[in-house]
Amino acid sequence: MRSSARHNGDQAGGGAASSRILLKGADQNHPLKKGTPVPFRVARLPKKARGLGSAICVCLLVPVLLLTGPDGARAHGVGYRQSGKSAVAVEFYYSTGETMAYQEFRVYSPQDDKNAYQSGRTDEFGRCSFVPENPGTWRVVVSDSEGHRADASIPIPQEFFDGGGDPRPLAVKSHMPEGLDLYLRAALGVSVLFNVAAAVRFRKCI
Amino acid sequence: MHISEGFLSPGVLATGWAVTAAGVAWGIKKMDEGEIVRVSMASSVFFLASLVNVRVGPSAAHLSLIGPVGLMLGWASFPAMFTALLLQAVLFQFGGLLVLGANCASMAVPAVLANALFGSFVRGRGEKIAAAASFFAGALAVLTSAGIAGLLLFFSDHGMALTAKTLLAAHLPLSAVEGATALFMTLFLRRAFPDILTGGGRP
Repeated sequence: MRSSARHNGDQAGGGAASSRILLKGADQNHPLKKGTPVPFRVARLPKKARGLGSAICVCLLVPVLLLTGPDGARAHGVGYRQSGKSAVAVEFYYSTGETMAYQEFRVYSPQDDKNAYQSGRTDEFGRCSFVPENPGTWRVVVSDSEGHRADASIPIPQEFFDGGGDPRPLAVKSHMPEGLDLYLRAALGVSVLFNVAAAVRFRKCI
Repeated sequence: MHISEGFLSPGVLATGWAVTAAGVAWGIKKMDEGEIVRVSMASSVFFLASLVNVRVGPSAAHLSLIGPVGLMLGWASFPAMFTALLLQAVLFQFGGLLVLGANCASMAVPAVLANALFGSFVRGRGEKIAAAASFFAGALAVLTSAGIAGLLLFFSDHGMALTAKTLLAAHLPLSAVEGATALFMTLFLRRAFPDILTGGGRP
């Protein structure tokens, strides 16, 4: 739709500082009806000058778009590469032998034990892994939805970053005793309970 | 069933310790001199029961025997469970020392309630009624314990409402196992050692 326009600052502006444009011969149903003030100025230049101006604009715009456009696109692009850094994997399990599968974990660095360095969920086998950035004692806390929580302290020595590739586990700690140790502790507990009873009976007898 | 360290707020921990301290004091006061060996035995059973893993569906849980201990000891369940939980925390790292008061309260209160509600039926003449009462005492004690633990978690952090519900739901299948265990235990004790099922009173 084309419409002609003419300056009519006095009519539309009513003393306003800027000149306005009134649309003439426009469709009456269009939002910009006849007589509607348009709040911008149009400079009317000779045809030759307009062509030259357009060419200059294009010449300026194209380099600007080439410089800024692809950069903007790259900011939203994604990529991947295989990291050469060594990761630490920790496995969590219950005293019943079950793994703490798909439970929330948080990793705390030696420098900041308030804000988690990493968080996520353990895998099907109760494992989680993280890539330490510096030596020290890292903490991995796993908690489930039934009030259980495991708090693992993983010492990362400087050799971990220097040597690399050492498959030996860095830390092995079981909160639950196993085997003979378990039976000895159970026997110790029962023994303590009956010794308490015996002590009380003995004290009463005296 | 054991709540780990770090979940409960200081206020809830203090409440748990207050309830436990009052219960232990009252239990020791009501405990008869001749009961001490029976209390030790029940405490040992409770202590060892946590090592017995029960496979329930896809997951595993350990027995608690809250109901049978309550039926045997009554108020003396408080000192018996407190000692056993203390040993479990030290020797097996179950729960923790700070959270011991809350854990003891969440288990000993249902034990006392089980004895108060079902004790007379379990010690009554009718064997069928005793069997049914034993089953419900064992099953409901576990569910009540899970409910109390869920409430403690909820009052510590309202965002843990889902945790509390999950805890209760997870103990539903275990409650059936606990009920059946309580049933067989009490029926055996009724016939073999009826003096043990006194609920804290004199045999």
